[in-house]
Amino acid sequence: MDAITHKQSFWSKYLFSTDHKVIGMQYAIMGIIMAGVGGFLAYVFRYNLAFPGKSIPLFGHLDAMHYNAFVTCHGMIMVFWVGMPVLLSSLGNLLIPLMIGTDDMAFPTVNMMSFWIFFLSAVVLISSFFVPGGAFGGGWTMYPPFSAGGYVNHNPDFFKALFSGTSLMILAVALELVAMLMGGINFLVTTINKRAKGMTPFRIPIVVWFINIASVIFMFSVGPLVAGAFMLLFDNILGTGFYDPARGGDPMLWEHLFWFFGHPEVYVLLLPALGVLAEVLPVFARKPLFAYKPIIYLALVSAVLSVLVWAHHQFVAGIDPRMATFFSIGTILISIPFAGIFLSFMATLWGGSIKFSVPMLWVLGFVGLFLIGGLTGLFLGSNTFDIYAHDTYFVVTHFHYTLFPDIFFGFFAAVYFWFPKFTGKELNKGLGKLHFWLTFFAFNGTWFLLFFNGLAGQHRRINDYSDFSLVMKEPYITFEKVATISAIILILTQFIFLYNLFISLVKAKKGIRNPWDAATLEWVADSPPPHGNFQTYPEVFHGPYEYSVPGEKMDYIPQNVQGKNDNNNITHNNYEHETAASLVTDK
Amino acid sequence: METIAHNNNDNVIFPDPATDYHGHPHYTKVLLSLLALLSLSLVVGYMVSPWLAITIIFATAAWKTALVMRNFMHLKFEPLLVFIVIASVLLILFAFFFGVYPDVTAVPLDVTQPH
Amino acid sequence: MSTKQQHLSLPINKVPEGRLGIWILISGELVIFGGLIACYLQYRLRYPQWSEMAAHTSTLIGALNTVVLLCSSFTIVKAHEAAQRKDIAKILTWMTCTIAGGLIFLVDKSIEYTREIGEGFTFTSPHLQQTGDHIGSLFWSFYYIMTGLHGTHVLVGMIAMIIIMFQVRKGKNLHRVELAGMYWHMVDLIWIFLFPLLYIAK
Repeated sequence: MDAITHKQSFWSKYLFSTDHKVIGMQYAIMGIIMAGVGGFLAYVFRYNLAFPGKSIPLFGHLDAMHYNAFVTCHGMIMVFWVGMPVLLSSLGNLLIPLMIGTDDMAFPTVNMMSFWIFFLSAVVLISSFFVPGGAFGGGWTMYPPFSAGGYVNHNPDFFKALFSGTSLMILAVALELVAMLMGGINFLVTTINKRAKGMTPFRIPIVVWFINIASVIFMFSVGPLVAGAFMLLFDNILGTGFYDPARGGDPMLWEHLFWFFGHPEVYVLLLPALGVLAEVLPVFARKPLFAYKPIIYLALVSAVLSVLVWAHHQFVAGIDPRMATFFSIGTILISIPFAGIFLSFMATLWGGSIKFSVPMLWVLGFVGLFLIGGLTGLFLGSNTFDIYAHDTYFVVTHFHYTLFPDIFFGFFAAVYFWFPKFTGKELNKGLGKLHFWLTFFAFNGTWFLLFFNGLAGQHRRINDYSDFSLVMKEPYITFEKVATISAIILILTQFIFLYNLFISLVKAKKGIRNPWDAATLEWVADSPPPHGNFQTYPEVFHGPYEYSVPGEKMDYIPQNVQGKNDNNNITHNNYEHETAASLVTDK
Repeated sequence: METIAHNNNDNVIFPDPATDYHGHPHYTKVLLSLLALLSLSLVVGYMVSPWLAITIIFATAAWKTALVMRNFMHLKFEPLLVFIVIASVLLILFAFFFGVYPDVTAVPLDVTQPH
Repeated sequence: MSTKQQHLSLPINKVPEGRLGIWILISGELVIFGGLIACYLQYRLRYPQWSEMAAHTSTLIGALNTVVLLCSSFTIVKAHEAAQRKDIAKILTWMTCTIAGGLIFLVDKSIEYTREIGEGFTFTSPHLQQTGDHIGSLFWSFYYIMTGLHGTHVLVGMIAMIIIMFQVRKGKNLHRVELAGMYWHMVDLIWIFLFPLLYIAK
């Protein structure tokens, strides 16, 4: 199907490929598999929450230790082994070279190594379930002294400690961070150096911008955590006292190290999905993206702010209350750039001729649900409210209303949108719509009522509420049952998606190059793009969202096609300032 | 139509050693300055008060860093954005340090001693 | 449409990919070490009694190591200069000197570690803990983790240079000499800060 210049064996074509598309799909597949694991863990403990003490179908009885381990690993897996690979690595690898009009990443071998290091990290994490003591159960935040072996021993047997659930989890996270760092370097260098001719920085599609900004945020904020993870690991296996107050250490240091990364991390997860929104909305509104440049500036502002607000996760941990004021103000301020981005998205829709395709449904669902999550975040950003709400289900519901639309709705929007490009085949529309609506309602059924549980004071990470009679009474017990049943429906619905994937993949290839009539560069390549992507490198003449341009015959102008108003006389001085004057003047 | 199926830098412009755009500072002079600064930081502890000595020691460390970065790593020939990246790293570390300071450093000593 | 990809004439774009990648890698590594140093500083400012512990590190060996690393930074940048002239023999000479410098550094460190471990200062320093000086033992935990992580980076840098030397011998990938050099300078930079923090600040 492609005239590649060298023959590739099975190993080098499918497994150890350096082709960014293969690597992107490998990340996506791993992410889906790990989502299955994380989802199963959630099913087990959710069942336990609704029907305490009962034997759980497909699992059995859940004791307290396993409950803690499952809650912890559900969180860890969903953030690091589903969210990151699926949104950052997979989308970045699949989209960036195609959207900037080049053949592959800047460092293809490093790219391949990053996937296999990621794969190794997943293996290490899963193996932590099967060692003596089981997986770590102290919350995905891994606070010492529990995570530093504090309750277990001070002079551990080295190998027993090395192969304990705690150490394995730290090692798994460390490997995963290394893989993501390698990927981030690749994305940045590729985007900076390998763009097509004519693609000035402000002609780059938003999703590419946002993935790069996310990579920068990630790389700069992960450093202290890597250092801290080493210290935690040594506390575990060597018995050092970095976080042990009895030995001069301080557990607060870990909290700061963790959340210094943990907060920017959620924006690292959010930005690629917002980028997907920015790509899908103009296509199905047939309107240019509103306020393209301000969106980029707003994202940069939020990136800077994101590293300054981390201690809002620690309001009740014993931090200096004066610092709490500072972090509280920062947290509330950071909602402003994101509100700006959302308003731009809505302005993009305004007056457009909207088509409710399956990707568009996911995007609109994302916007609606994320709004709820984001607004509840404002409440939690106030340190006074957080005194009441911290560690309750209000927080848990807040971050599920942000993370689930972010990771899942964003990913599904991307899959339904770009599937025809990367496979040359089409996903079934009816099944796609069914998948969307069931997911949408099941998700809300799972989570909405739990806001009220949180406000009533129900704390998180507790497996047995029998001693909490003041909180756990009607209607909150019923709310738990509604939540669990909806969660089961939510998980089962995803099988519709998997079935859709399967039957679509076994169909014959249609190879439609641009089924959505979209303007960005990836639709110029064949479906699926061959090794090397483009027959000839495209040249870019204008921005990526030229839809419904007045005076043009078609209702969109692809980026590599010269429109009537395009002027590609880019001199060194004014390449960024495409003002009306420079467009009109003949040079 | 020919398919361009490359990987690994076929179309990358390698810096041609003959025309690479940065020059070479006088490396030996830089090395001698570095060694001189090192000697200064070793003896200053015996010469002035402790606080002044510490300031001078870390100032010389910063100066040495700047010398190595600007000359050996050719930062002064790189585009401004590279310097901004490195400077942002420092800013981020400052933000981290001052955010954590009240909780870890500025804790009264008697709290930390084991009872 | 062009068949050969052309690069735009943007300032940041003039940086070749390998070098740009290494700068980004360096900034990432600086945040990691910087985070570790920031943690160390937090405790150092909290525990003035750490200066007694710092007195047990050998300033002589530390200063010697600093000189060695500074000179090896010099030699690797001379190798880079030779690479610009495509003078393979000189490249190999200068790179060998750099690797020798790294080796001397590691040997010095081992001698120093042996002496300190002999005196009972280890990662956990059990004898200090038995006497109730837990805070002092934390200094040594930091000392070993910081110098150990740094030493690992020295070793990795040396291995990378050896691999590149094999490629350079055949006349390939001369531009990688500069990249290895930049990584080595980063290692040197970190030591420039570790030295006063752990050795002199008393």
